[in-house]
Amino acid sequence: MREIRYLKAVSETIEAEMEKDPSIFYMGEDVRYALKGIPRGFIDKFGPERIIDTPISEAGFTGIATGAAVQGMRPIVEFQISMFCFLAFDEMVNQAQKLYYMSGNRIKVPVTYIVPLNFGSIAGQHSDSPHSFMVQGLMKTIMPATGYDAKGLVLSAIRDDDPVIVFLPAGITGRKSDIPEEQYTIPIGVGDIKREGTDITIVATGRLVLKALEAAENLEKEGISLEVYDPRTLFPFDKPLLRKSVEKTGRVIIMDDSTRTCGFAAEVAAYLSDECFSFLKAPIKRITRADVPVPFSLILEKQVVPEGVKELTETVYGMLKK
Amino acid sequence: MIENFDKEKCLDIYRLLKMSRRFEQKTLELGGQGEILGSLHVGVGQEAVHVGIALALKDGDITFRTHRDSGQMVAEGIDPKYLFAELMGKINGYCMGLGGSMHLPGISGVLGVNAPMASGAALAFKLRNEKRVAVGQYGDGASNLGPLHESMNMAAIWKLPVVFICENNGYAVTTSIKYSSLLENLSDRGKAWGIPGETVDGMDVMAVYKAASRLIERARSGEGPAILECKTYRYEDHSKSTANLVLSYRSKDEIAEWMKKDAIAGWAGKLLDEKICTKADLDKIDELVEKTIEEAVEFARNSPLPEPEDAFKHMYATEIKGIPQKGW
Repeated sequence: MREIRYLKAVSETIEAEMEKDPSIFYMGEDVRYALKGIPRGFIDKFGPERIIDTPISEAGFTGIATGAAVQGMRPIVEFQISMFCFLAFDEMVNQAQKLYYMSGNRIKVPVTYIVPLNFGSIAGQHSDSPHSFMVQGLMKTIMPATGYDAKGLVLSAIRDDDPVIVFLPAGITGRKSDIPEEQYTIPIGVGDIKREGTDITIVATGRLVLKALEAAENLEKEGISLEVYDPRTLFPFDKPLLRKSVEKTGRVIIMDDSTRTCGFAAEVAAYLSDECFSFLKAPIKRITRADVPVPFSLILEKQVVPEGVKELTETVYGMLKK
Repeated sequence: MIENFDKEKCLDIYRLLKMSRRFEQKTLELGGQGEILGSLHVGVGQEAVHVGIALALKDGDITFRTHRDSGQMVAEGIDPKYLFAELMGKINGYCMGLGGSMHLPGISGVLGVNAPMASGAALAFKLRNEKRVAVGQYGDGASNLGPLHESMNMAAIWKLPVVFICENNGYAVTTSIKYSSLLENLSDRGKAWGIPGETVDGMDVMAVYKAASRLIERARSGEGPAILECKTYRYEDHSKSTANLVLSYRSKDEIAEWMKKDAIAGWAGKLLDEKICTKADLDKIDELVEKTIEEAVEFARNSPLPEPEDAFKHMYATEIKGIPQKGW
């Protein structure tokens, strides 16, 4: 084992798979120079045929990736900023995602979309977390919280025969951790208990997993035991694992960076009320992005995007009446 | 001989034109009787484009057709019995009853995506050094969509083996192309991407074939994409459902004028004028076409419906336990 950054883990698994599989190419804006840090040095190894810089044409190149996938390639498409997904929404959700079903399984679309998330004083059109849109679009949706998970899940995404979208959470992709050198996969749809506990199940996504772990560490000193469930895959999320956890704790707080209305947290809450109601000792609580665009001024942004530890700690106290 | 086609091939072109038209007319008839559900967008009148393109393709070439091009599928050699079965929602339909008329493979029900899809297929061919060409078809309506222009530009800068073929039938539902573009010829847009653009008579199967063939071979030889505009006309209304609205966006005279240029009558006339064949030869083909269509319809009628549970069986190529979920 060696310590490497989250982003490096993503980068090296793609690189190793590209060496093995000539049908993979990497496409996006400014990818030759690895502006977002993923295909660093790839251009020298794979050349401009497989590291394809595109014009600023998100809908066009996403559609091109679909066409190439239909003809047997396995494209990886990088969106420079997550909100650029909106420009290619039809190409992803209405085309790539539906073709296999609509064609009576004649067409496969094995594309991987890599989408770095952002926020932090860049506001409005640069700070959305569009993952819930993709979940509702029935797109296999991944949001790894650690470099270890990212490495294994990105490889599963590339090898999957359906379109898969991978969201790389804001603010944590520079973190270092122990990651094996060899290639490995983590199955899509399998969650992970990141910390065991008995009082409350915290469902957290992406960067908020780390915030939940931090809060759990703090609260342990006060005798409060949080279990942290990281779905890792948002669609489909691991229901049996969550059910088992809630059966034990009877209390749930869900944290997610997408909007409150119809966001991922709403879907998890709906599942719990449908199928785990009898285990619940308290109402399900959600900590989410507020239903306004992310404002610019930091003091305002803090009202809209949860910091994580603070809001969770307060919600835990409220739930346990402390 | 017409061009490089001998008598047999000339008659086969007539058969393809006829098959393409009769297939689509039959779908309308079955739609009217309630045997085919949903909407239908037929390209009756546009057969010269459909058959002209089909003739220009070589093995391994691929077309991304519009929602008005199901007749072209027949011209490309797909057995109409699987298409009728699909339109009737049967299990042995071309897409197991999951797609319907607007979502047959190689057809998109959303406009403008064929250009990116075809460019993507062409990118795959180029990366693998295959001498194959992709054709991306679109109508005058789709010609104003962003993704189409984006992908044409990328196809141009990457010199992809793709040909964009515009079926300009004059109307996007009710909106005339004369309203939605100032250009006389939509092929002029090739200049914007630095690629050749040509316009041909889309009611003349040989004109379409010759131009398409030349541009497809040009793309195959590595010279990059081109735009081919075929000026054509649809005789029927936009769709089965809009036909009932009786919207007066075009005159009966206009329709009658275009019908004088009919592709099938034109080709038949040419074969007779040049004494390639006799009227009896053509009648024989007409009979054969009717028989093929009737047998195909019977096949579809006798095909079983899907099992209700089939709605949930075909969602993902790599399956994951627990999905898809049912709604209740």
